[in-house]
Amino acid sequence: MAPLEPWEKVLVSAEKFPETVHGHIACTDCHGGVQSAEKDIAHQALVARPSEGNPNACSKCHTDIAMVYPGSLHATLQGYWTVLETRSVPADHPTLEKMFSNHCYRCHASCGDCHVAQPSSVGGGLFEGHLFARTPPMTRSCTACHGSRVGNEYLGKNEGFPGDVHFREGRMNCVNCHADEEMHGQPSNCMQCHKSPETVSLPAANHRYAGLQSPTCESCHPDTILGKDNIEMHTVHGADLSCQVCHSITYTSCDGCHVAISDKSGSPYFETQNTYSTFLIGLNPQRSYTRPYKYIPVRHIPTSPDAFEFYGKNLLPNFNLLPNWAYATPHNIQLKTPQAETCNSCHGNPDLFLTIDKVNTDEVEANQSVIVPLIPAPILETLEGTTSP
Amino acid sequence: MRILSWLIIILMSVLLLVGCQGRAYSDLRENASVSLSLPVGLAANSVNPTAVAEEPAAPAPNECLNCHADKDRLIETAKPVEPVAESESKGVG
Repeated sequence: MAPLEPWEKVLVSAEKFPETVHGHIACTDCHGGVQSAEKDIAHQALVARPSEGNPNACSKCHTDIAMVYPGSLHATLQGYWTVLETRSVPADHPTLEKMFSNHCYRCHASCGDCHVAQPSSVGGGLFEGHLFARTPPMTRSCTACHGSRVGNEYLGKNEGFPGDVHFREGRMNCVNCHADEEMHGQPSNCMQCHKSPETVSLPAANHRYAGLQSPTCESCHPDTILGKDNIEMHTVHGADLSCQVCHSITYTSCDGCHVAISDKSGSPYFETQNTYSTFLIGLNPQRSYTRPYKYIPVRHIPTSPDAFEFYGKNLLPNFNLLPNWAYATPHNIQLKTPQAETCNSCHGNPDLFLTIDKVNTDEVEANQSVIVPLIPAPILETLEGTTSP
Repeated sequence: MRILSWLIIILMSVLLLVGCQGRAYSDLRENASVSLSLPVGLAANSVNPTAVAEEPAAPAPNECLNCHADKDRLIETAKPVEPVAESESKGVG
């Protein structure tokens, strides 16, 4: 996505914007400043990003969303802190906060970052002359941030691998699954029906895989869990395998990300050592009521014990408390996949499973909870004939 | 006779005071009805009901929109773009 010219970033449509609901609100009501033809005067006390903070300009009218959004992961980035706090010790948190502010905080999104402008992590700039978008435009908003893995998988940009069937066949946008309730910080499965005030008292998630699974594939494909689709694999494996184990294909893993501040420019930067394609099934390290699966796809995430060494030695002394082959939900779903072709495409196939031989020696301890100790045995041919779909 | 003169003076004074009071009251009432029932811009109509109605006052110019909808003006008034150092990041973020 090409960056916008400076003037493009702040261009307002004189024809369309005044006709919209937001166009009936005085500019200064949201943005502060003063009415003047002189730029310097007009921009006195200007609020360029009025949706920052709580309360903010949006919360005056959108009170229901304003109640929950401050707790959403898009606003808090709490998922990062859940992991950082587990792997570090409190004494190092001030140092990690400095690192976080320099390298991670750009991912924070306010209302405007999705609904009226491109996220600041990709340079910002108004979408379409300050017209507000109820549904954020997928490639200028969602995959502008979630691009290198989710975006490339979903849109089929990884060479040799097709895009997600929901995109290829259904032209589905991110929000067709990730509904607004979820984006605003509450499980959409609950909020679509339970819109009463008590629903919003659900505690805010502290990680993307915390709490209720939302969205779920079953929301649109209920027959898969009700045994009505006559697919025996769903009956046999429905509770043991996450949907992605059978229906996703090769996805991206990364190694060895390190962050630092440039001596030359003074700007923060990162360096990822390796990026490669994987499809590996591991054990689910956090089985729960809504994620009961024994097996899940796992992705090697780029963090490493010395990822933040620029800021200090041994800042992640408890690195091994969490796996760095992490629970993954690849966004490249297919109806038919190589691993689900027959029973023995998966059963007895060591290439598909995260066994100890595939884990770096110094990462074995961290990944004990996901390493598959013994792969499922092959199915006898005669039996396979009776169980294949 | 002297008493009659005093009576006439008193009567004239009373008539004068009552007359003045009536004008002041009607003035007040007229002013009040104008200020309460008509916008300021149309107040003149109450004085001359047959006059042609004036155009409503033009809305105040929206200086924010005037500038931000004008590409040339935005380019003209933009801060000079400082050259941004090429990102030193390597690999997939």
